[in-house]
Amino acid sequence: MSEGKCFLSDCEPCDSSSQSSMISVRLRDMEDSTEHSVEYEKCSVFHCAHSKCNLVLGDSLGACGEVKSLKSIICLKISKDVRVRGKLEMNKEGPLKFCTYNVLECSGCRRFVGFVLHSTPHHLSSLRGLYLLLKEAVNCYMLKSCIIVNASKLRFEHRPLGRSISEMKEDLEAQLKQVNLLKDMLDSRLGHCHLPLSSTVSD
Amino acid sequence: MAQQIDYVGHKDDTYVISEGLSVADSSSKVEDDGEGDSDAPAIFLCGKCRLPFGDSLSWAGSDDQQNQILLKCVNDNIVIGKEPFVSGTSEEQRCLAVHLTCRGCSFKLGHMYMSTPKSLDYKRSIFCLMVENIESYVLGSPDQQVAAVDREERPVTLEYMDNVEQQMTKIKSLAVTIGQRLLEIEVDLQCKSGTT
Repeated sequence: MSEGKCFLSDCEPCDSSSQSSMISVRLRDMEDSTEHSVEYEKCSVFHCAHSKCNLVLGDSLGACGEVKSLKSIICLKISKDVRVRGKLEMNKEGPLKFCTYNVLECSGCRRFVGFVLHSTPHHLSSLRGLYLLLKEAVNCYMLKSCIIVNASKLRFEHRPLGRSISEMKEDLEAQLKQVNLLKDMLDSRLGHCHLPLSSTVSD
Repeated sequence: MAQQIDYVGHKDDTYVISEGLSVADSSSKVEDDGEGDSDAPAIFLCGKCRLPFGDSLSWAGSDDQQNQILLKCVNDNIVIGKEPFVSGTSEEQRCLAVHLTCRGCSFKLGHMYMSTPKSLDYKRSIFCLMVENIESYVLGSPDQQVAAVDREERPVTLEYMDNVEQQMTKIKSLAVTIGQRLLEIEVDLQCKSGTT
Protein backbone atom coordinates (compact mmCIF):
# COMPACT_ATOMS: atom_id res chain seq x y z
CA MET A 1 0.00 0.00 0.00
CA SER A 2 2.64 2.46 1.00
CA GLU A 3 4.66 1.55 -2.07
CA GLY A 4 1.69 2.32 -4.33
CA LYS A 5 1.25 5.72 -2.77
CA CYS A 6 4.89 6.44 -3.18
CA PHE A 7 4.68 5.57 -6.87
CA LEU A 8 1.76 7.94 -7.48
CA SER A 9 3.47 10.87 -5.88
CA ASP A 10 6.57 10.05 -7.85
CA CYS A 11 4.61 10.41 -11.05
CA GLU A 12 3.68 14.00 -10.33
CA PRO A 13 6.45 16.43 -11.08
CA CYS A 14 6.36 18.96 -8.32
CA ASP A 15 5.94 22.14 -10.42
CA SER A 16 3.10 21.05 -12.68
CA SER A 17 0.26 20.49 -10.26
CA SER A 18 -0.70 24.12 -10.82
CA GLN A 19 -0.73 23.52 -14.56
CA SER A 20 -3.02 20.52 -14.13
CA SER A 21 -5.42 22.49 -12.01
CA MET A 22 -5.35 25.30 -14.55
CA ILE A 23 -6.29 22.84 -17.27
CA SER A 24 -9.20 21.54 -15.24
CA VAL A 25 -10.38 25.07 -14.48
CA ARG A 26 -10.30 25.99 -18.15
CA LEU A 27 -12.09 22.78 -19.10
CA ARG A 28 -14.84 23.60 -16.65
CA ASP A 29 -14.96 27.12 -18.06
CA MET A 30 -15.51 25.70 -21.55
CA GLU A 31 -18.40 23.61 -20.31
CA ASP A 32 -20.01 26.50 -18.49
CA SER A 33 -19.99 28.85 -21.43
CA THR A 34 -22.54 26.90 -23.46
CA GLU A 35 -24.81 29.91 -23.71
CA HIS A 36 -22.82 32.28 -25.85
CA SER A 37 -22.37 35.90 -25.06
CA VAL A 38 -22.76 38.38 -27.87
CA GLU A 39 -20.21 41.12 -28.36
CA TYR A 40 -22.70 43.90 -28.71
CA GLU A 41 -19.95 46.50 -29.11
CA LYS A 42 -19.36 45.13 -32.59
CA CYS A 43 -23.02 45.14 -33.60
CA SER A 44 -24.77 47.58 -35.86
CA VAL A 45 -28.34 48.49 -36.71
CA PHE A 46 -29.45 48.84 -40.35
CA HIS A 47 -31.43 51.92 -41.29
CA CYS A 48 -33.03 52.99 -44.52
CA ALA A 49 -30.44 55.28 -46.11
CA HIS A 50 -33.01 57.46 -47.80
CA SER A 51 -32.66 60.90 -46.29
CA LYS A 52 -35.43 61.71 -43.82
CA CYS A 53 -36.61 58.08 -43.64
CA ASN A 54 -34.15 56.28 -41.33
CA LEU A 55 -36.54 53.42 -40.66
CA VAL A 56 -34.90 50.42 -38.96
CA LEU A 57 -34.56 47.63 -41.54
CA GLY A 58 -32.75 45.11 -39.37
CA ASP A 59 -29.55 44.57 -37.44
CA SER A 60 -26.25 42.78 -37.72
CA LEU A 61 -27.44 39.92 -35.50
CA GLY A 62 -29.53 38.74 -38.43
CA ALA A 63 -26.77 39.14 -41.04
CA CYS A 64 -25.07 36.09 -42.54
CA GLY A 65 -22.56 37.67 -44.91
CA GLU A 66 -22.52 39.56 -48.15
CA VAL A 67 -22.74 38.96 -51.89
CA LYS A 68 -20.09 41.07 -53.55
CA SER A 69 -21.48 40.68 -57.06
CA LEU A 70 -24.90 41.92 -55.96
CA LYS A 71 -23.49 44.55 -53.56
CA SER A 72 -25.82 43.34 -50.86
CA ILE A 73 -25.94 42.00 -47.32
CA ILE A 74 -27.39 38.53 -46.76
CA CYS A 75 -29.92 38.61 -43.93
CA LEU A 76 -31.75 35.80 -42.23
CA LYS A 77 -33.92 38.22 -40.30
CA ILE A 78 -35.12 41.70 -41.09
CA SER A 79 -37.49 44.09 -39.39
CA LYS A 80 -41.23 43.97 -40.00
CA ASP A 81 -40.97 47.40 -41.60
CA VAL A 82 -39.42 45.88 -44.72
CA ARG A 83 -42.18 44.85 -47.08
CA VAL A 84 -41.86 42.03 -49.60
CA ARG A 85 -43.59 43.12 -52.79
CA GLY A 86 -45.85 40.38 -54.12
CA LYS A 87 -45.07 40.86 -57.79
CA LEU A 88 -42.28 38.69 -59.19
CA GLU A 89 -39.72 40.69 -61.18
CA MET A 90 -37.17 39.36 -63.59
CA ASN A 91 -33.90 40.47 -65.12
CA LYS A 92 -32.44 39.69 -68.51
CA GLU A 93 -29.07 41.27 -67.88
CA GLY A 94 -26.77 42.54 -65.18
CA PRO A 95 -25.72 40.58 -62.12
CA LEU A 96 -29.27 39.29 -61.69
CA LYS A 97 -29.39 37.91 -65.24
CA PHE A 98 -32.02 35.16 -65.61
CA CYS A 99 -33.21 35.58 -62.02
CA THR A 100 -36.72 36.12 -60.78
CA TYR A 101 -37.14 37.90 -57.47
CA ASN A 102 -39.44 39.81 -55.15
CA VAL A 103 -38.50 43.37 -54.39
CA LEU A 104 -38.02 44.45 -50.77
CA GLU A 105 -39.20 47.95 -50.04
CA CYS A 106 -38.96 50.18 -47.01
CA SER A 107 -42.46 50.65 -45.65
CA GLY A 108 -41.56 54.20 -44.60
CA CYS A 109 -40.48 55.69 -47.93
CA ARG A 110 -41.49 52.82 -50.27
CA ARG A 111 -38.02 52.87 -51.77
CA PHE A 112 -36.33 49.77 -53.19
CA VAL A 113 -33.98 48.43 -50.47
CA GLY A 114 -33.29 44.88 -51.59
CA PHE A 115 -34.77 41.66 -52.94
CA VAL A 116 -35.52 38.00 -52.27
CA LEU A 117 -34.39 35.68 -55.04
CA HIS A 118 -37.02 33.26 -56.23
CA SER A 119 -35.37 31.44 -59.15
CA THR A 120 -31.71 31.70 -60.00
CA PRO A 121 -28.96 30.25 -62.17
CA HIS A 122 -26.67 27.75 -60.48
CA HIS A 123 -24.19 30.18 -58.92
CA LEU A 124 -26.82 32.05 -56.91
CA SER A 125 -28.94 29.11 -55.83
CA SER A 126 -27.82 29.12 -52.19
CA LEU A 127 -29.20 32.63 -51.81
CA ARG A 128 -32.78 31.77 -52.73
CA GLY A 129 -35.31 32.75 -50.12
CA LEU A 130 -32.90 34.88 -48.08
CA TYR A 131 -33.24 38.62 -47.65
CA LEU A 132 -30.68 40.56 -49.63
CA LEU A 133 -30.39 44.19 -48.57
CA LEU A 134 -28.67 46.51 -51.00
CA LYS A 135 -25.65 47.99 -49.27
CA GLU A 136 -26.21 51.39 -50.82
CA ALA A 137 -29.73 51.55 -49.46
CA VAL A 138 -28.60 50.82 -45.91
CA ASN A 139 -26.97 53.05 -43.32
CA CYS A 140 -25.39 51.35 -40.34
CA TYR A 141 -25.50 52.73 -36.83
CA MET A 142 -22.52 51.22 -35.02
CA LEU A 143 -23.12 50.55 -31.36
CA LYS A 144 -20.74 51.92 -28.75
CA SER A 145 -19.06 54.34 -31.16
CA CYS A 146 -22.45 55.82 -32.22
CA ILE A 147 -21.08 56.38 -35.73
CA ILE A 148 -23.36 56.13 -38.77
CA VAL A 149 -21.85 54.93 -42.06
CA ASN A 150 -23.24 53.66 -45.30
CA ALA A 151 -23.11 49.87 -45.50
CA SER A 152 -21.17 50.03 -48.77
CA LYS A 153 -18.19 51.18 -46.70
CA LEU A 154 -18.38 48.13 -44.45
CA ARG A 155 -17.53 44.50 -44.98
CA PHE A 156 -19.82 41.66 -44.01
CA GLU A 157 -17.64 38.83 -45.26
CA HIS A 158 -18.00 35.48 -43.66
CA ARG A 159 -14.95 33.37 -43.02
CA PRO A 160 -15.22 29.74 -44.00
CA LEU A 161 -14.77 27.66 -40.86
CA GLY A 162 -14.65 24.17 -42.36
CA ARG A 163 -10.92 24.15 -42.88
CA SER A 164 -9.93 25.36 -39.45
CA ILE A 165 -12.37 22.91 -37.87
CA SER A 166 -10.77 19.99 -39.68
CA GLU A 167 -7.32 21.30 -38.78
CA MET A 168 -8.32 21.39 -35.16
CA LYS A 169 -9.76 17.91 -35.42
CA GLU A 170 -6.42 16.65 -36.70
CA ASP A 171 -4.60 18.33 -33.83
CA LEU A 172 -6.91 16.83 -31.25
CA GLU A 173 -6.68 13.38 -32.80
CA ALA A 174 -2.89 13.60 -32.66
CA GLN A 175 -3.20 14.49 -29.02
CA LEU A 176 -5.48 11.55 -28.38
CA LYS A 177 -2.84 9.32 -29.95
CA GLN A 178 -0.28 10.77 -27.59
CA VAL A 179 -2.53 10.12 -24.61
CA ASN A 180 -2.99 6.50 -25.68
CA LEU A 181 0.74 6.14 -26.10
CA LEU A 182 1.29 7.45 -22.60
CA LYS A 183 -1.36 5.13 -21.26
CA ASP A 184 0.43 2.19 -22.85
CA MET A 185 3.72 3.36 -21.37
CA LEU A 186 2.15 3.68 -17.97
CA ASP A 187 0.48 0.27 -18.27
CA SER A 188 3.70 -1.42 -19.17
CA ARG A 189 5.50 0.42 -16.41
CA LEU A 190 2.86 -0.59 -13.87
CA GLY A 191 3.08 -4.18 -15.06
CA HIS A 192 6.83 -3.86 -14.82
CA CYS A 193 6.62 -2.39 -11.37
CA HIS A 194 4.42 -5.06 -9.89
CA LEU A 195 7.06 -7.73 -10.12
CA PRO A 196 10.14 -5.98 -8.84
CA LEU A 197 8.31 -3.89 -6.25
CA SER A 198 9.94 -5.74 -3.42
CA SER A 199 13.32 -5.17 -4.95
CA THR A 200 12.80 -1.40 -5.18
CA VAL A 201 11.71 -1.37 -1.58
CA SER A 202 14.74 -3.32 -0.57
CA ASP A 203 16.90 -0.84 -2.50
CA MET B 1 -52.77 1.57 -75.00
CA ALA B 2 -55.71 2.81 -73.02
CA GLN B 3 -54.36 0.98 -70.05
CA GLN B 4 -51.03 2.73 -70.35
CA ILE B 5 -52.59 6.18 -70.40
CA ASP B 6 -54.57 5.25 -67.36
CA TYR B 7 -51.41 4.16 -65.64
CA VAL B 8 -49.64 7.38 -66.47
CA GLY B 9 -52.57 9.34 -65.18
CA HIS B 10 -52.51 7.37 -61.99
CA LYS B 11 -48.83 7.96 -61.57
CA ASP B 12 -49.35 11.68 -62.00
CA ASP B 13 -52.01 11.61 -59.35
CA THR B 14 -49.84 9.97 -56.79
CA TYR B 15 -47.11 12.44 -57.57
CA VAL B 16 -49.44 15.34 -56.96
CA ILE B 17 -50.64 13.85 -53.71
CA SER B 18 -47.14 13.31 -52.43
CA GLU B 19 -46.18 16.80 -53.39
CA GLY B 20 -49.21 18.11 -51.54
CA LEU B 21 -48.15 16.16 -48.53
CA SER B 22 -44.64 17.50 -48.58
CA VAL B 23 -45.94 21.05 -48.81
CA ALA B 24 -48.16 20.47 -45.80
CA ASP B 25 -45.23 18.93 -44.02
CA SER B 26 -42.93 21.85 -44.61
CA SER B 27 -45.54 24.38 -43.56
CA SER B 28 -46.13 22.53 -40.31
CA LYS B 29 -42.42 22.73 -39.71
CA VAL B 30 -42.56 26.52 -39.52
CA GLU B 31 -41.40 27.29 -36.05
CA ASP B 32 -39.94 30.35 -34.56
CA ASP B 33 -37.02 30.23 -32.26
CA GLY B 34 -38.16 32.76 -29.70
CA GLU B 35 -34.73 34.16 -29.02
CA GLY B 36 -35.68 37.60 -27.67
CA ASP B 37 -32.57 38.30 -25.61
CA SER B 38 -33.62 40.38 -22.65
CA ASP B 39 -30.10 41.73 -22.15
CA ALA B 40 -29.74 42.90 -25.74
CA PRO B 41 -28.93 46.60 -26.03
CA ALA B 42 -31.29 49.13 -27.55
CA ILE B 43 -30.53 52.02 -29.82
CA PHE B 44 -32.34 55.32 -29.45
CA LEU B 45 -33.82 57.31 -32.30
CA CYS B 46 -35.46 60.67 -32.70
CA GLY B 47 -39.18 60.13 -32.20
CA LYS B 48 -39.99 62.20 -35.24
CA CYS B 49 -37.43 61.53 -37.97
CA ARG B 50 -35.95 58.31 -36.53
CA LEU B 51 -32.36 59.52 -36.82
CA PRO B 52 -30.35 57.30 -34.45
CA PHE B 53 -28.29 59.18 -31.88
CA GLY B 54 -27.19 56.78 -29.16
CA ASP B 55 -27.50 53.36 -27.57
CA SER B 56 -27.82 51.69 -24.21
CA LEU B 57 -24.13 50.73 -24.14
CA SER B 58 -23.52 54.26 -22.90
CA TRP B 59 -26.36 54.04 -20.39
CA ALA B 60 -25.97 56.31 -17.40
CA GLY B 61 -29.26 55.68 -15.65
CA SER B 62 -32.82 56.92 -15.78
CA ASP B 63 -35.14 59.25 -13.92
CA ASP B 64 -38.50 57.54 -13.79
CA GLN B 65 -40.24 60.47 -12.15
CA GLN B 66 -39.37 62.82 -14.96
CA ASN B 67 -39.56 60.05 -17.56
CA GLN B 68 -36.00 60.59 -18.70
CA ILE B 69 -33.16 58.34 -19.71
CA LEU B 70 -29.56 59.39 -19.20
CA LEU B 71 -26.77 58.63 -21.68
CA LYS B 72 -23.06 59.26 -21.29
CA CYS B 73 -22.49 59.88 -24.98
CA VAL B 74 -24.42 60.39 -28.18
CA ASN B 75 -23.41 61.17 -31.76
CA ASP B 76 -23.63 64.44 -33.62
CA ASN B 77 -27.26 63.88 -34.54
CA ILE B 78 -27.97 65.64 -31.28
CA VAL B 79 -27.36 69.35 -31.34
CA ILE B 80 -26.44 70.85 -28.00
CA GLY B 81 -28.09 74.22 -27.59
CA LYS B 82 -26.08 77.36 -26.87
CA GLU B 83 -28.61 79.37 -24.85
CA PRO B 84 -28.90 78.16 -21.25
CA PHE B 85 -32.29 78.34 -19.61
CA VAL B 86 -33.39 78.03 -16.02
CA SER B 87 -34.71 74.59 -15.27
CA GLY B 88 -36.57 73.19 -12.29
CA THR B 89 -39.89 74.08 -10.74
CA SER B 90 -38.89 74.17 -7.12
CA GLU B 91 -36.42 76.64 -5.70
CA GLU B 92 -34.35 73.74 -4.48
CA GLN B 93 -33.78 72.16 -7.88
CA ARG B 94 -33.32 75.30 -9.91
CA CYS B 95 -30.29 75.19 -12.22
CA LEU B 96 -29.10 75.97 -15.73
CA ALA B 97 -29.56 73.64 -18.69
CA VAL B 98 -29.41 73.73 -22.48
CA HIS B 99 -31.76 72.09 -24.96
CA LEU B 100 -30.86 69.01 -26.94
CA THR B 101 -32.43 68.91 -30.39
CA CYS B 102 -32.35 66.51 -33.33
CA ARG B 103 -30.06 67.55 -36.17
CA GLY B 104 -32.45 66.11 -38.72
CA CYS B 105 -35.72 67.76 -37.73
CA SER B 106 -34.91 70.11 -34.82
CA PHE B 107 -37.30 68.16 -32.60
CA LYS B 108 -36.66 68.76 -28.90
CA LEU B 109 -35.27 65.53 -27.47
CA GLY B 110 -34.16 66.56 -24.01
CA HIS B 111 -31.64 68.72 -22.23
CA MET B 112 -28.27 68.80 -20.58
CA TYR B 113 -27.67 70.35 -17.17
CA MET B 114 -24.70 72.69 -17.26
CA SER B 115 -24.80 73.25 -13.52
CA THR B 116 -26.65 71.38 -10.81
CA PRO B 117 -27.44 71.61 -7.11
CA LYS B 118 -26.21 68.69 -5.04
CA SER B 119 -29.35 66.61 -5.49
CA LEU B 120 -29.03 66.60 -9.27
CA ASP B 121 -25.30 65.99 -9.58
CA TYR B 122 -25.87 62.59 -11.18
CA LYS B 123 -27.39 64.38 -14.17
CA ARG B 124 -24.75 67.03 -14.72
CA SER B 125 -23.04 67.20 -18.13
CA ILE B 126 -24.71 64.07 -19.48
CA PHE B 127 -27.53 63.69 -21.98
CA CYS B 128 -31.00 63.67 -20.43
CA LEU B 129 -33.53 62.51 -23.01
CA MET B 130 -37.29 62.61 -22.73
CA VAL B 131 -38.71 59.14 -23.21
CA GLU B 132 -41.90 60.44 -24.85
CA ASN B 133 -39.90 62.16 -27.59
CA ILE B 134 -37.63 59.30 -28.55
CA GLU B 135 -38.00 55.84 -30.01
CA SER B 136 -35.96 52.75 -29.36
CA TYR B 137 -35.06 49.59 -31.19
CA VAL B 138 -33.80 46.50 -29.36
CA LEU B 139 -31.19 44.46 -31.22
CA GLY B 140 -32.35 41.08 -32.47
CA SER B 141 -35.90 42.16 -31.64
CA PRO B 142 -38.16 39.10 -31.74
CA ASP B 143 -40.78 40.66 -33.99
CA GLN B 144 -38.55 40.42 -37.03
CA GLN B 145 -39.49 38.42 -40.08
CA VAL B 146 -37.38 35.33 -40.70
CA ALA B 147 -36.43 34.21 -44.21
CA ALA B 148 -38.56 31.34 -45.48
CA VAL B 149 -35.71 28.87 -45.77
CA ASP B 150 -35.68 25.31 -44.44
CA ARG B 151 -33.90 24.97 -41.15
CA GLU B 152 -31.23 22.72 -42.62
CA GLU B 153 -30.48 25.20 -45.38
CA ARG B 154 -30.39 28.25 -43.17
CA PRO B 155 -27.02 29.95 -43.21
CA VAL B 156 -25.45 30.74 -39.86
CA THR B 157 -25.24 34.39 -38.88
CA LEU B 158 -21.94 36.27 -38.66
CA GLU B 159 -22.47 36.61 -34.94
CA TYR B 160 -22.78 32.83 -34.59
CA MET B 161 -19.63 32.39 -36.64
CA ASP B 162 -17.73 34.80 -34.38
CA ASN B 163 -18.83 32.77 -31.43
CA VAL B 164 -17.67 29.49 -32.98
CA GLU B 165 -14.33 31.08 -33.76
CA GLN B 166 -13.94 32.26 -30.19
CA GLN B 167 -14.71 28.82 -28.84
CA MET B 168 -12.22 27.35 -31.24
CA THR B 169 -9.39 29.61 -30.16
CA LYS B 170 -10.17 28.67 -26.57
CA ILE B 171 -10.03 24.97 -27.43
CA LYS B 172 -6.81 25.48 -29.37
CA SER B 173 -5.03 27.19 -26.51
CA LEU B 174 -6.33 24.56 -24.12
CA ALA B 175 -5.00 21.86 -26.43
CA VAL B 176 -1.59 23.52 -26.41
CA THR B 177 -1.48 23.50 -22.60
CA ILE B 178 -2.64 19.89 -22.46
CA GLY B 179 -0.01 19.02 -25.07
CA GLN B 180 2.71 20.59 -22.95
CA ARG B 181 1.53 18.71 -19.90
CA LEU B 182 1.47 15.44 -21.84
CA LEU B 183 4.99 16.06 -23.04
CA GLU B 184 6.14 16.62 -19.48
CA ILE B 185 4.49 13.43 -18.34
CA GLU B 186 6.05 11.55 -21.21
CA VAL B 187 9.53 12.83 -20.44
CA ASP B 188 9.00 12.07 -16.80
CA LEU B 189 7.86 8.54 -17.54
CA GLN B 190 10.78 7.97 -19.84
CA CYS B 191 13.22 9.14 -17.19
CA LYS B 192 11.60 6.87 -14.62
CA SER B 193 11.63 3.84 -16.90
CA GLY B 194 15.21 4.65 -17.75
CA THR B 195 16.26 4.53 -14.13
CA THR B 196 14.57 1.23 -13.41
